[in-house]
Amino acid sequence: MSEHLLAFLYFFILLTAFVAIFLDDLLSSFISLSVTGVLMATVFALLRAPDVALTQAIINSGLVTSLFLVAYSRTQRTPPPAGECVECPFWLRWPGAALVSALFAAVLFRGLYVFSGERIPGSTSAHYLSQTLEETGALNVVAAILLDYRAFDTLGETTVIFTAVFGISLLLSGGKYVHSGHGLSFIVKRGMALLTPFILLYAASILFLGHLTPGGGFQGGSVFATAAILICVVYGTNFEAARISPKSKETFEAGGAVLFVFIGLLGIAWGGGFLANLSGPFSAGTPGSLFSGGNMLLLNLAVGMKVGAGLSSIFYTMIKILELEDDSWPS
Amino acid sequence: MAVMSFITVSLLFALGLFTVLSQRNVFKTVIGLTLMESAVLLLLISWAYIPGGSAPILPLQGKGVDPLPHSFTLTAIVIGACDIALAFAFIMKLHRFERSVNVDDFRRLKG
Repeated sequence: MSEHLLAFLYFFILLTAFVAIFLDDLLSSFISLSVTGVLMATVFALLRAPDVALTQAIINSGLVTSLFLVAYSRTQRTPPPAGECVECPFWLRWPGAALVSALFAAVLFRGLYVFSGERIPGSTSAHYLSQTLEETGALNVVAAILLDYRAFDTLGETTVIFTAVFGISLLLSGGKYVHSGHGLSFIVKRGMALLTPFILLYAASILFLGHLTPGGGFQGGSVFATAAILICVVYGTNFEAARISPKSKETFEAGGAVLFVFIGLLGIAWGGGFLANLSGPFSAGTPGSLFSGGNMLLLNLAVGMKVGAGLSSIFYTMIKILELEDDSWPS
Repeated sequence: MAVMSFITVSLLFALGLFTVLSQRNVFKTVIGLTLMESAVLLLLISWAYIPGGSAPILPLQGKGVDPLPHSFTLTAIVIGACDIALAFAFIMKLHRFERSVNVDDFRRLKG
């Protein structure tokens, strides 16, 4: 791997982060932050982490930016009172903040420098790399760690997503959602109609081949959510709600959790333990084929259902607020 | 190479911290949090890299990079995105009551 390329990317990551902080225009600064995210995804791919690169590109620079745009348009409708705070202007604030941050960076680097010698992976990682095929039947080691060795962690993580969706719905719901935009122009609508099947195919391929190639439930589910978000933006929210109703999203999300726990309990019933894979009722299959890796295909489906439904309901809740008039805001 | 990554991680984290400490716009605070999160992700992935290693997809060609930090990072990305979405929901709710996204204008919490 070329170190010069990496140095170049690092330089631009810092540059775009710098621009994102110091631009006055919020829209430009979030676009700049999105560029930072894409550059980070490139660095992850160069550092041989394809799964992480895919997730970073889809979630951090795609979905988060779209959520920002919604929050931004909501808060810009009534312009905020302009001007710096008189008590404490920026030129008085930044020296202290800069000093603290610089000291922090120095201490952090001093601490990290200890680890800059030759890196020897721990015995756990060596075990994962050498035994994954035998013990789980999957080819993607990261997916095997997420869905077999540490599947209980993944269950906890999906619970965190559920909690976030719950919190956002609690904060922003309660109004009568009658208003809806009419969507974009005819040409965009036709173009979207042509694109949708391919986006869904891409999402399904990422999701169902997660145990063989980079990808899996998180990434596939996020692409499904992206398709729902695109439909929401292009055709208007009422169209999206008529096709994929918020109720069915809830059902999908709950169904994903129930499927995950059910597969886990199946392992106990077989005498293997919670979320047991090959020691439970599942077989490894032929390595490299679709039906291999035991329960990993089903677990990917469960995680994908949960992530896709969760993220798309977050976006739907937020964009619905955008269309409400100021007076009809739920309090 | 590791030193270069560590310098970037330190600077990126410090930039995020600086933003959270010095900026008064709540959207800028969210940007600062995102930058700090990115620094942590970059640290984990650059620490997992082994020179000459290949991606952790079987069959391996030569030695593979450490797959364990990769799975931690995946988890962190998804949870970070949920955090940021929740922060945006809070901002929208705050703006509803205070008509502002500037921390100095949120006077109700002051004693």
